[in-house]
Amino acid sequence: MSNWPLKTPLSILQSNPGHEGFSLPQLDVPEAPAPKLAERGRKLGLPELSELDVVRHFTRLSQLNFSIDGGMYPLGSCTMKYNPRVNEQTSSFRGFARLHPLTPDKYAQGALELMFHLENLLSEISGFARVSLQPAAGAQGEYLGIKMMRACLEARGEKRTKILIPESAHGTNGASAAMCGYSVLPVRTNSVGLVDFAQVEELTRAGDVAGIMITNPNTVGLFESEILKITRLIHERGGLIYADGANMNAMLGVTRPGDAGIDCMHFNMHKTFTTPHGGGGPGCGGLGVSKTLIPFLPVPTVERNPTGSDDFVLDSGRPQSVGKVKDHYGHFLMMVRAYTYIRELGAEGIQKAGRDAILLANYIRVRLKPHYDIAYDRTCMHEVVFTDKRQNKNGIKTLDIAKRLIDEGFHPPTIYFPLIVQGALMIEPTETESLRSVEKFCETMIRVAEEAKEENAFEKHFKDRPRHVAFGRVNETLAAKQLKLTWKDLDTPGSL
Amino acid sequence: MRYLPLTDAEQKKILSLCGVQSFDDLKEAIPEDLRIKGLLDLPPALSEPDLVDHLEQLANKNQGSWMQSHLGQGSYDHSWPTVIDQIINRGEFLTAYTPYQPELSQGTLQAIFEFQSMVAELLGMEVANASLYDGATSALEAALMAARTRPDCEQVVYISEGVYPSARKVIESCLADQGFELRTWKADPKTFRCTASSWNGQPSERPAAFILQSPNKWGLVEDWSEVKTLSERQEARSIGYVGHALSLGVFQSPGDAGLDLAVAEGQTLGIPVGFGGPHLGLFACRKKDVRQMPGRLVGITEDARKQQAFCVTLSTREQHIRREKATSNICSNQNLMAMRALMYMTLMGPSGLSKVAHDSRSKAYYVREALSKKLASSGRELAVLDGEIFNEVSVLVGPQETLWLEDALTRTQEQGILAGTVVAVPANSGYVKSLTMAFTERHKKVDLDRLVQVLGA
Amino acid sequence: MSDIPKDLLYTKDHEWVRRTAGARVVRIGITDFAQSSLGDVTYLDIPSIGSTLKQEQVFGSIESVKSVSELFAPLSGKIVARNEALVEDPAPINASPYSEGWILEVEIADESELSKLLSPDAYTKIAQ
Repeated sequence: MSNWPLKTPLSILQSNPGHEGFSLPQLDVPEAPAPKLAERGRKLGLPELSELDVVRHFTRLSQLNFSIDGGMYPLGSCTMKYNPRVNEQTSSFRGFARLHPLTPDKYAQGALELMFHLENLLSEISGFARVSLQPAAGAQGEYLGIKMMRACLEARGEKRTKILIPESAHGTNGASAAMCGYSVLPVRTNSVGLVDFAQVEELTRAGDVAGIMITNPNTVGLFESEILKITRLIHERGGLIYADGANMNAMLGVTRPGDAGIDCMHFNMHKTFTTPHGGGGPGCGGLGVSKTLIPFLPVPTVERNPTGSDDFVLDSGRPQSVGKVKDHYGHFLMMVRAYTYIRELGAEGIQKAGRDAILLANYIRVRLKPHYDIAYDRTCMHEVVFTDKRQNKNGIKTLDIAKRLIDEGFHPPTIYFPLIVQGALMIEPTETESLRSVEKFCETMIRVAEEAKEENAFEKHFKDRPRHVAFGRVNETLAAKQLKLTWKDLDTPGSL
Repeated sequence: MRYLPLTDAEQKKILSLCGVQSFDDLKEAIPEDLRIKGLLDLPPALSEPDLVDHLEQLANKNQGSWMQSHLGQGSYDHSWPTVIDQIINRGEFLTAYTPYQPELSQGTLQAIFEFQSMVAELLGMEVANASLYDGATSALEAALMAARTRPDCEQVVYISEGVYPSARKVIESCLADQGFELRTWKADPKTFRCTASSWNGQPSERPAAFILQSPNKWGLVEDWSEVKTLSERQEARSIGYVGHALSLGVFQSPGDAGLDLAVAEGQTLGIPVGFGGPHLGLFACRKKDVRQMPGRLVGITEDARKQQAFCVTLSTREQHIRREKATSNICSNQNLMAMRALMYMTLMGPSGLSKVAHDSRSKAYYVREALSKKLASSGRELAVLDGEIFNEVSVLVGPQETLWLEDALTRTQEQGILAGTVVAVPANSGYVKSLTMAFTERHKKVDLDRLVQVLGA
Repeated sequence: MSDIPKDLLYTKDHEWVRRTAGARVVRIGITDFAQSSLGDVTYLDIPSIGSTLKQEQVFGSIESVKSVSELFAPLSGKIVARNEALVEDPAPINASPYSEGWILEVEIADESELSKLLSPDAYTKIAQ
C-alpha cells in the first residue's frame, strides 16, 4: 500500500498556539469600548496554523479528490463537462467581485447589462419568452416554476391541488411540488420508455390537475416524442407544463423546449453552461418562462430604462409577481461564468456542443450494447441507460461494476437512477471529452463486462473494490449509526 | 473549438458506427416541427482575447466597485487572504463533483467535516450542516424545522423588525407557500431593538418560532436572551439569525445563549460580495434535532482498511430518497463558498477573526463618535442611533430632513462615496428614515474622516 | 430465497405478526425479505408505549443508508412494549428479523382484523 497521495489530519489536530495565517493592518483609530452586551467570552475553538501549514493541508486534501480536471465523470444527468478557466478569470474581475448588491443602478451598469444579455441569450437558446436568473440552483428554479404556475392558476380563479409527475422523475420534482402545497399523482412510463400519454389523459379528465412536471429528454435518455401532444392536452384542460431542464445539454442547437409548449423550465447552469460543480455547489439556476407566466416573474427584473435612455434598471414594479425566492438577484458571479461560456461558443459553438454530446452518447450506446442490457433499445440523446440484468446472472450488480471502474481511473456513471430501471447505469460523456477518451471508457466497460462473465467473477474481480485508490470501500452504515458530525464528537482526537 | 474536440472525421466515424447517414437521422425521435433549422440567433463565437476584453469592459462599467462603499445590510466588503483565491482554484476543488462516491472524494468530505465543526463552534451549537444557499434561506429552513418539531403550533412565525428587508421578502414568500404567515415582532421605537416586552402579540399565541436577527438592519446588536425568554413563554422555538458572521468574533453566539437553532449569513468569511451571490448560509442545531435538519451532512467513519474516512450521511432526510416527504427540496450545498469560508477560518484562526471583528467595530465607533458631534452642532433633526453596535452606524433622519438625506446621498456620490443604505424605521420613533453605514477593516482613517466631513457639510 | 416461518402471519407490506394462541398481545416485526431489500438498517422511528395503532396506517419508519420505508400497522391496538435495544442499535433487524429483531408488542383491539393478514403461503407469493 502506498503512502501517496499524502493524507492530512483534521486541521484542529495540527493546531499550534500562537501560529497565524493572516496579515492585517494595524488599527488606525481608537479601540472601541468593550461591549456592554454579552460578549463571546470563551476563545473560538479554531485551529492556529501558519499560512504554509494551511496551504499544505488543503493541497493534500485536494489530492484525495477526483475531479473533471483529473478524469472523466460519465455521470448521466450531471453533464460533467470541462469548466473553462477563462470563466474563473472574468468572474474575479474587481468590477464584478467587489460590486455590492445594493449599489445604485447607475453605478452597476456592467452587471445589469450582463444579466440582461444573459437572459436574452438563454431565451434564444431555449425558446422561452423570458428568463429569470434569480434561483440559486436547479431545485430552486424548479420551486420557482411551480410557484409561478400556481400563482397563474390562482389568478384565473382556479384552485387545483394535484400535479402529475412521471415515476422516472428526479426526487426534487416531488419535493418542490410538495413545497408548493401540491399532492403528486405519479404517471407511468410506457413500454417504450416514454410518459404514458393515455394515463395523462385519464388523470386530467376531472379538470383538477394543475399540470405536469416533465423531464425532456427524460431520465432514460430518450426524447419525449409526444411532447406536443402532452402540452396541448394539458393546456386544453386548463393546466400548465413545467419541464426539468437537467438534460438541456441534448437540446443545444437541436431543439427548443419553449417551442414545444412548455410553460416554464429551469436551467442548471452548473451542468449545461459550465459553472463549476465545486464539490457540491453553488449551483446556478435560472427559469425560462412562456408569455403566460411573465406577469408572475420574481422581482426585481432587469429592464431597459423606460425613459428610453440606453441604460438598465432594476424594476420591482410587477403587481402579480410571486415575490422573491432568493436574496438579491441570484448567483451573479456564476452568471458571469455562464455568460462568458456562451459568448465564447457563439451560435456555432452552441450548435456543435449539442451535436457532439448526442454523437458521443450514441457511440457509447452502440459500443456497449453487445455487452450490457440496454434499458430502451433506440437512438438516445446525450445519455444512455443500461441495466445490470445480464451481469446479475453471474451475481454481479451495478454497485460492483461502479466500484470496479474506480480502480481503472474512471468515476462511476450514475447508478440506481432512474428508479424505474433495475440496477440502472446512466452514462453521459459530454461533448468536452475527446473521442479517444470515450473510446478508452468503452474499452474499460467492455473489459469489466468480460470479467463479470467469468467463473467466480465476484471473488476474482469485484470483491473489495476499490483496491488501488487511497481509500477502500467507505463504511456508510457505520457513519449513519454512530453519527459523529463534528470533531468534538471524536472520543479522543485522531481516533474514531 | 477548444472545448469541442470532435473532428469532422470522428463525427463521420460515429455516424457510420451507428449505421446512419447523417446527424439528422439521430434526431428521429424529435418531431420535425421542433427541430431547429440552421443556427440560433446568437452572437458569433469570440476568441479568448476578445472575450476577456468584452468582459473587462462590462466589469469596468460597474463604478460602484471602485467607490468608497459603506453599503452593508448583510453583505460586507471585508478583505480576505489572497492565498484563498489560489487554493480554491485548484481543479481538484473547483471541478470536483458532489461527494457521493466517498472513495473518490475524501478531500471534499474531510473539508466539509472541518467546516461543520468550525460552524458549530462559531454558532455555539452541537451540529452544523454543510451549508445552505444564504442567510435568508437558512432562517427560512430553521422556521420550517421549528414547525416540524412543534406539530401542534399555529401556522405563524414571528421575525424581528430589524431583519434585512430583502431577506424578509424571501422568508415571507416561501413560508406562505407552506401555509405559514410571517408576522413582525415589533422593535421598541426608542431603542430600535426587539425585546420580549416590545412584542405586540397576544399571550395566547403559539407560533412555531421567533426569529431574532442580530446585528439588526440598523446596526444594533440584539440580546439573545430576549428571544429565549419570549419563545419559552409562548412555547415556540427560538432562532438566532446572525446577520453578520464576523460579529461572532466579538459577541455571544446564539448557541451559548441557549437558543434552539442558529443560522447566519456567512458571506463575510472570505467570500466576495459579488453583486449579491453566491453567498453562504450557515445552519446549526442541537444533536437531538439532527434528523429534522435540512441540507447535506458529512459524518466520520472508516474504510475497509480501517483508515479514518468521511462520507455523506443521513441522506434519508434529503429529496433524492424521501422525494415528496423530504425535509426540503435542496440538492446542493454552497460547497465552493463553504470551502472559501473554511480556508478563511483556518487561516485567520481565533486571533484573526477576533481582530477583524474588533477592528471593524472600532472603525464604526470612531465614525459614530465623530458624526454625533457634527450632527449635534448642526441644529438639524438628525441623530446618531445609540446602543451596542457591531460594524454599522445609523443616522436617524427626522420628518423635516428628507431633503437633507437626498442631498447627502448626492453629495457623497459626487465625491465617489456610497454612504450607506436608506432603511425604514420603527413607527412612532419620531424619525422617518435611517441612513445605515457599514465599516470594515478595509476602510482607512482618512476614508472615515472624509465620509464624516462630506456628510457633515 | 427469503425465510418465511410457518408459525407467523404476514402483511403485504412485509411485516410479520406472532400470536401465541388466544393471547391478547402480539409481537410484530419486518420480514426477512424486507430487511434484505433495505440493506443495513441504521435507524428505527417508532411511537412510544401507550400509543395506539390503526390497521394499515403508517406508524413509523425504518431507515437504511440509502432508503427509508414506512411501517404500516398490521393490526389496530395499543403498544405495550418496544424493543428498546433496537433504538440503540438496529442491527438485529437484519441479523434475526423474526427473533431478536422484533419491533413492537401490541395489545390487539379487534380480533376480526386477524382475518385480513396473510398466511405464510399467501405471503410467499408476494415476497419474490
